[in-house]
Amino acid sequence: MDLIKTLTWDATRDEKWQLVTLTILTIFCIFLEIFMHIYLGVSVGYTHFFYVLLVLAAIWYQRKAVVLAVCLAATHLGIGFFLFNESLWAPLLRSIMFVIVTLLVGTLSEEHRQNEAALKESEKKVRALFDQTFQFIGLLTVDGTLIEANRPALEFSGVDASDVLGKPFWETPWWVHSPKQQEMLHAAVKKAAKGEFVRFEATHPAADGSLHNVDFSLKPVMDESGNAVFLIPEGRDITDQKKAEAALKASNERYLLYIKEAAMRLKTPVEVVEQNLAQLIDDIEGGDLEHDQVVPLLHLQVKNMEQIRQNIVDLNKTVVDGFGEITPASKKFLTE
Amino acid sequence: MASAAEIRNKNIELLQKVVAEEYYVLIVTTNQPFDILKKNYEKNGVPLDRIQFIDTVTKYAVGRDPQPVKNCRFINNPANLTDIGIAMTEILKYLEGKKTCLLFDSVNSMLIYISSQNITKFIHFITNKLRLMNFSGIFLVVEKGLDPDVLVQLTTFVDEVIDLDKIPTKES
Repeated sequence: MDLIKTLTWDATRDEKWQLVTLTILTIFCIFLEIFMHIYLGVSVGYTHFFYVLLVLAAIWYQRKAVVLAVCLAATHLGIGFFLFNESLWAPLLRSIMFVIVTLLVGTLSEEHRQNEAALKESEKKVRALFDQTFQFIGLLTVDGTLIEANRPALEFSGVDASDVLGKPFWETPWWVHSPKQQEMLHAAVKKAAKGEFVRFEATHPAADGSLHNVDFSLKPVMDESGNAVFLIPEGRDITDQKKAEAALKASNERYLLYIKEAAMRLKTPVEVVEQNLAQLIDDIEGGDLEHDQVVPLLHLQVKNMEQIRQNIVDLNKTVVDGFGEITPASKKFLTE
Repeated sequence: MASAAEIRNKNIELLQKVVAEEYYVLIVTTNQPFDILKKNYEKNGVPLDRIQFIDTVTKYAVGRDPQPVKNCRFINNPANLTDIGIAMTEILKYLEGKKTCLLFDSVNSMLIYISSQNITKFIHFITNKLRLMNFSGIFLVVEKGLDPDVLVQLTTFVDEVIDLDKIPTKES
């Protein structure tokens, strides 16, 4: 099968030379047939060489080579039987063997080609998935040596496969920026080698130097005996998601600060005015205040309410200024 | 700290105690005018000879200068922290060497006029000044009127927080 593989590889490289080779061999076989059989009268022995031609033809042209085998067999049979009046059986047997061997080798060669084509197709699909996927994927041995890395992972870090393959994974550009993460990865490889799925958040430096947040996982590939034979590292870039979460958190914190300040600048002052007015009523009812004392107190509460209204406007302005879409009429209502 | 309903009574009680201990008192009022405070103190038997006032609301409420009063400084606006600070500094300098206590009434009413951030900064300024001059100080606060984070920040400026609601009110 290895010989067939090698010869098939040679054949696919240059079909022109296959034809030339077969033509030369065919001519030589015919020469042998004429020289040995007709001229020297020898009918056996030299026919073994015919198998060289037939096997090569079968490897290169698969079952189509049977045509050549039949022609060669017919020639050999015809010369022997019709020219020399030899017994039919020996040449017939030899001729049948030509055809059978050619058919057998041709069939095997055809099967091999089909299997190879199917394998190539399958490899092409796997490679397409491997290299065209959005996330980073690789392949490690169980001791953590990187043996494959997909194109997105390599392009992300701006490295070539030759820079990283064969190295311990924790010594590759994705990890060397952080000793702590290298330790985590080392521990993760040991766990995964025992069959455990490991996942954690990590950071990887991109080719431009920026640090990206990555959802990293390490999955073991098990054999039939339940032993890990490979480890699959995967990384999903979650930087944008993290930024969005941080922005949302910051927005929520700003909102909380705003409503806290609003409570202190509105709720508390209203309570103060409320308490002052209640006290004022008690004092008036108790006869504790003169007219000229009541009026300034009432003025004060009016001024306080004016200030509270201004506080509302000021607080509204801080929100409205940050709003993109607000009608001029609404803006006026809120800020004046 | 006290409840909103009790803060006026607690003001008087505190002042009585402080005066009884022979302190000179500087009262900064951001809620009750000088006239009303004076009336209440006199009604409750608090001697005023050792008390100085900084009144930030009378001039703000009536819109004009009130009649000058010997032991009272009138500030045009409770939000005018600069003038309040200057008045405090001058009065405290006058009281230097004497056993002096500042009574600030109240942090909550200041929120009508200035932001919590500015109040925090102002209180910090006052407490530092008092420490430098070896004076005492009392800041009245309605606990439920302040954000807990702001209250925690204010408590870091003082030596002690006293919940006046847990102290029974003296029958007058």
